[in-house]
Amino acid sequence: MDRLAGRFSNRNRLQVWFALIVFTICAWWTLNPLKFHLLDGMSVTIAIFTGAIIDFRFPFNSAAGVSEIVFLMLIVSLPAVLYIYFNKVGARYMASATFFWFAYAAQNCFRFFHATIYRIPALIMFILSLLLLVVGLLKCLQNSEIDVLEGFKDEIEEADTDDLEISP
Amino acid sequence: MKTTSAKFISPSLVTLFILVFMLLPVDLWAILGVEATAVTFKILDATKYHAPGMTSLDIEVINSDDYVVSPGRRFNVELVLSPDSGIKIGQTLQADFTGMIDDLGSGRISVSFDPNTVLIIDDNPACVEIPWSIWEPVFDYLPVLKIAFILFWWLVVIQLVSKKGAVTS
Repeated sequence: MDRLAGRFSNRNRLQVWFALIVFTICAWWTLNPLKFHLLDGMSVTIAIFTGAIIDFRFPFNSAAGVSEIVFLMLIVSLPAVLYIYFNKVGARYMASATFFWFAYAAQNCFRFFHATIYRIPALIMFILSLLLLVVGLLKCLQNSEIDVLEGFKDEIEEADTDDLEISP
Repeated sequence: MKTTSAKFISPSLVTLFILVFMLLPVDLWAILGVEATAVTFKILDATKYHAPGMTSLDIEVINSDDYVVSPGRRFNVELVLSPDSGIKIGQTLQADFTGMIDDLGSGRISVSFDPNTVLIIDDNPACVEIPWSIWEPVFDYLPVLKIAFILFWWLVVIQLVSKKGAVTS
């Protein structure tokens, strides 16, 4: 424990606070999995766009529907695409923050199994969603910038140059 | 001096509005409402709760002509059962279902049936009595446990980023 205390003490405080706030909000939504989640809007958007291509049967949560699983897979695959993209462009903090979206994907799997009364898979997905939230938080800490000044180095230099230009 | 009256509020328009507002819930019910008769279903699992006197049943539809309450679909039904209802886990029952699609987006459906109209189709020695919920005492503490989960990770993060324990080079 002593080795862990202060392990990330040199991290950018802004990024740490951001991770904590996102974690808190997402955790509350994940701990109330049948209620509102901000990313639900994204799921509805996906449904509207893909509804033209895939014939979703109504209602969605039938016990034996393939189209519902296709819809679920689309929601789950979106954070995976983002994760790969952020890693590719070197945005490691954003890639870590995508884990909060992975948690939402697991929450959707929970909702699917809960609606179709498969209790054990639903429980596994609920625990997985909580686990992904924690992983997201810790990865955000790990991948935060080391020095707060490092992230805004260019801006600071620019500001310093401006000051020099202004002063006689 | 003659004042202009609001001619657009004609009696026929008012009647039309009243009719629309009366018919709208009926139309909505036609879209969202579910009514299925003589549905045969099996009780997969069930739990009794002390506080609201409710019984939670996990059921699977075996036979039905309805499009929404279709065979193979599973539902959770919460209802008040009388002590002499004789309903057990594993039984096959028949009842008339009513319900509604709660949410058009996700298609979440809630159904219910009148426990007094239930017919027991199949009852065998393998069927078991409905047990009391073992988790019910925890329900009151759920909000506290949720907050505790979040606070625990806040404390972990505060420990991890604290400068007190930091190794200075």
